[in-house]
Amino acid sequence: MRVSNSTWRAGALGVVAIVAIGNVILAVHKTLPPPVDSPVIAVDPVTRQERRLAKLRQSLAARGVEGVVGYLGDSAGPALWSDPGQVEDYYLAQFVLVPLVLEGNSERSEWAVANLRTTAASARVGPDWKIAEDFGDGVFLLRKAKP
Amino acid sequence: MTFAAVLALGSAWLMGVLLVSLLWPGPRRWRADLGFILPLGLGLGLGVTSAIFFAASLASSQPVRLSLILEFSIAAGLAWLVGRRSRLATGTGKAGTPGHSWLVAFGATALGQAALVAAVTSWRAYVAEPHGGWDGWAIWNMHARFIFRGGENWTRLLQQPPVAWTHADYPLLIPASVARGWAFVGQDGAFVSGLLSGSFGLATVGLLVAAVGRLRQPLVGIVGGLVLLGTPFFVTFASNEHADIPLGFFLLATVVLMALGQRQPEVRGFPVLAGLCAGLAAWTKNEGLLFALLAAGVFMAQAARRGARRASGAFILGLVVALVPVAIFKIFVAPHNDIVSAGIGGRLAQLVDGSRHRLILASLVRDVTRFGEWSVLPFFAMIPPLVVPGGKRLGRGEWWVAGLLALTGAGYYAVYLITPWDLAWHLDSSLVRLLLQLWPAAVFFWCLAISQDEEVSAARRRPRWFLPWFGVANLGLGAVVLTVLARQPAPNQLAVARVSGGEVSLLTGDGWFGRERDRRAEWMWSKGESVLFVRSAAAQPVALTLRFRIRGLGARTVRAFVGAGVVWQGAVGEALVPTEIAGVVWPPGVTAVVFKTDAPGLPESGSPNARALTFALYDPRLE
Repeated sequence: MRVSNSTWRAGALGVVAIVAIGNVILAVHKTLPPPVDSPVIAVDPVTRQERRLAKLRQSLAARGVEGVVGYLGDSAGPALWSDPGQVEDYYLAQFVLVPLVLEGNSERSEWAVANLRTTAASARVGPDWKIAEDFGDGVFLLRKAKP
Repeated sequence: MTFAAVLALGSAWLMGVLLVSLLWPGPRRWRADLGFILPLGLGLGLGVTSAIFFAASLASSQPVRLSLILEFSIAAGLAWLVGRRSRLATGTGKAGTPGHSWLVAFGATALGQAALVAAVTSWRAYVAEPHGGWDGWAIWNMHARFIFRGGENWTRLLQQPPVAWTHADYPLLIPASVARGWAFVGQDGAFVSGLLSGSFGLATVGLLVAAVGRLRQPLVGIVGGLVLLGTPFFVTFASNEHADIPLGFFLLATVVLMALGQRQPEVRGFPVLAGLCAGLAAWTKNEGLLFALLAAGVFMAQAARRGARRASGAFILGLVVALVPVAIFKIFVAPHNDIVSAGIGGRLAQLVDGSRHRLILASLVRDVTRFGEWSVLPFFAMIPPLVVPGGKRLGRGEWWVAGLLALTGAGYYAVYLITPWDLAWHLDSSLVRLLLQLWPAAVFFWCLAISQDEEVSAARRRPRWFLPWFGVANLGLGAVVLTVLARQPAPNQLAVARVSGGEVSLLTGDGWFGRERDRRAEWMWSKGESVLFVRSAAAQPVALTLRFRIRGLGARTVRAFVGAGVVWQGAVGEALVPTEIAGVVWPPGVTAVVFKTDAPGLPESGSPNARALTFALYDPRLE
């Protein structure tokens, strides 16, 4: 029996459709529903930082702070850029605190944000700065100490 | 918030539908053309409204008011023009009632249900990362926040060197659209970005199906739509708030409109719309600028060959109009692009660096087969229809448009060659997204290439009862699909019991190694002290028995506590022991069940990295 080209093509299209539908089903099987709410539920890093820095953002707005603000992470200078975790923290802090612009070199700013994971504030905050507000969980608002 | 977000998107969409309707060749055949007008309307509407909002944000610290006035005026003008054009239209055209065949109906059902499943997948991906993936929040939503929160200073703030890493030179179709949505809503919630992002994914599938259905056969269009929906990366990325899916939409829209223009060269609307879409690609991403220039070159070369100068003029008109916001942004707002500002001249030698070519090609070979994140690679199935003998399938004009895609790919290749960034890093962080941008248009050409223009079968006119029954049957099937998907357990959900007034879930807490399973059982090893949570959504306390099997590594006693009280204890050894915690009344909310053992963990093997295991729970359930 001779099978026509159009039959072949229809069959081949059917195979493509079946493969595609298989991929659709397997994709939803792999992409699980969101976790059920519980005390240890993990949220995405952005939402976590939004919550962690929310009070700092409110405080900065209430104080009328605008423009460029200093940023202190656990490491100073180039070391901050060599640690992907600290770079992500810095970027996320920038995302949360827009429209402020966070600058790693904080010398030219009157205000600075300290976003510390592993370092104590006493070890990281130099004498040029005083802690204006402590929001807990390593988050501080700093103001340049008057000479 | 949800209503305002939908209103923001809907009003942009309406404006786009009016614009496309005005430029679409008449006489109007609404039902036949809706598959084009709706998806194109979404893209063009967001393009126009984002440009208006961008302009308003440059002129005013309260851009939403100015933007609304401008949008309303333009929409009213478009509506008047569309109405006037409809009254003047004298031709009748074809009836445009699509024919019906059971095979097409079956395919449409498969496509509709696949779209529903894909929408659930996309929604889950959105919920996992509501602010988008890395580029989603670090670039696109970041810029949207500068526009929304920065007031009249947003351009100055975005130009600051400390935020150069956000790529402040990237075009603003997505950020301005998101900021516009936030302005409607009054706050910068993630839902607006997710809705916008997902809409582009849906529009891409709709446009592909409609275009192939028109240029070839509806059934081939349906298969093309399934291929796109069967690309998991496309589906999960559609809600991930990047600009690659929107760019892919504009690339597809441009080539579709160019292909349609080949069929009706006398129609000016297609080249104008194609030019607009190419320009909006440039308003979406920098790669789109490259595509717009190549599209203009290809279109003009082809038009010159045909002697169709007017078509060239129409394309250029659309392109220039869409490039106006790009030019204003690039000249007055954007800082220098990192690739261009590093000085291309010194990097021209990289064009002939063999090691760079090898690395790019190796990455291309690697990523072409994996960028879609397929469980079953579709290429093996997609090749046979291409090689089935048959007549000439692609027209000359369609080959030109295929060439445009090849040129775009070559352009991306050249950018990799001269990139100032570490090439391996640049490839790893972007190549799969570039392939995704080209994928919808590539599927479009695959569809054109596997079927012949002349193959349109004589379809019977569908009976009156068909559409209502078809709709009801699909709604019913969709409800079944959603019910099945709703029963899929969450990653932290071990068991579910449905009781009157709600659902009670058993959830993993701290202190467990990961969940393991084989064909017969699922289990979790405890690190020593570990927690399960019983989360009851019922309004009243519920009495349920927690059943599981337990075994340990070494002999030990295990106790389970709820609060300070012991609810179960037993001696545990190597053998699996069926166990139940009965008599506990679980209050509404979350109750912790803490498991403790009296003996330390033992290494599971002699390996230095062996886990220290204590006891394991098997197949826990609530009854």
